[in-house]
Amino acid sequence: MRSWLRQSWLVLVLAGSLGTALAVIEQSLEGRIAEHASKRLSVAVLSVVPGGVRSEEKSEAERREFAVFDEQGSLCGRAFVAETTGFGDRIRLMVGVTADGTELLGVAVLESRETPGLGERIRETAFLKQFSGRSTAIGLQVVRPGQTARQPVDVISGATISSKAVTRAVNECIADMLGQRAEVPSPDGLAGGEQ
Amino acid sequence: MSDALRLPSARERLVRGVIPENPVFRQLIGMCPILAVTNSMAGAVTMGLATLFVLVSSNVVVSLLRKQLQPHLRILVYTLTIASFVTIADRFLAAFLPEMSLLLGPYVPLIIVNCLIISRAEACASKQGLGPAISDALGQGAGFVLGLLSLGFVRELLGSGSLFGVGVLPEAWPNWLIMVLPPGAFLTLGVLIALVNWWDGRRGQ
Repeated sequence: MRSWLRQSWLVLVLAGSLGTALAVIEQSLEGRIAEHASKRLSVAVLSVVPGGVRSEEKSEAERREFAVFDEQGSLCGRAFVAETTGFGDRIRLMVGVTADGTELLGVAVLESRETPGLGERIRETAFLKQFSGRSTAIGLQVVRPGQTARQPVDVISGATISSKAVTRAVNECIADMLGQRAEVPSPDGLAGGEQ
Repeated sequence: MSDALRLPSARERLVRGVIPENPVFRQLIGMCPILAVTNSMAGAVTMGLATLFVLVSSNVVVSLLRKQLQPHLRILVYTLTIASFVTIADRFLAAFLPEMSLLLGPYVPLIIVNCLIISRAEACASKQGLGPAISDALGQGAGFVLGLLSLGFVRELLGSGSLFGVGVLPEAWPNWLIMVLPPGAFLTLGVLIALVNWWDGRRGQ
């Protein structure tokens, strides 16, 4: 017992004091860190619902959901957090729809670690703006040049997997919203062309 | 004590770390952040300073405790100290530089396994007093920042045509995508090490 203590007292004292220091630092910074995260989220919510000035999180929803209000204080849209696996890592999106849920208003990328210069181009406006104004009644489909679909999303060349991942996440999110989780439309283009 | 066994003085420690024993170009350690976060200057600087902070702090603690260290428990003490300071650096980045913290992602917590830090604890701080330990950390840390910056400079300039996010090359510059991707890191590192060796060889003649 004695020799055991004589050998390890330094490790024990060090673990105790460094642990305490870390706890104090974590305590004093955690509010600030959480604030950054919620600010990022609310900026994203307002960016996918044009005209929105204020958002409120619905606490009971299974998927993170936000109600968005305009300047007059009336409900002007809803936003959902959508998540899927991309080429590199998890992709998290914010998906905005109209208050009645019939039309997509916008999509923003919250988190992605795709290949720079290829998959990361899902963050570009040129790609994301394709989702605005689409109907939620029909699934979105990724198409290559020359292919057609009822609601086509142009693929980013060199980043088919990332393009499809985003489209799939949006389709899943809409299906969830409409309560049709069992029948998520595939993001694959239907008509012609090589696969 | 014979000259061969004499430990370097504080001043020698400081100078050695920057160029003669540069962690990146001469010792080739800490390669993970060198390859991973040098596609932009801003990321490289933040990573370099975070590593420098951890290096100085851990050298100070280890040097103060050096007389109490049990030989078979010393690695445990180093790891405990390093992990604590890395966590502090990580939390401060998340609280005060949230964008940078997102950009660097897992690479800040990974400073824990940067063998530069544990090797300095073992080679210097556990054997020498506070003065040499601090100047050793500053020298090696500066050498590491220099390594990160030189890779970041080449990769951001050629890969994005910018430095610190500010465009410096003309619009017509075709960004070399490969420089931003992992292969660009290996290519740049190889070329820079070759240059350092060539320069060293010429001086030696």
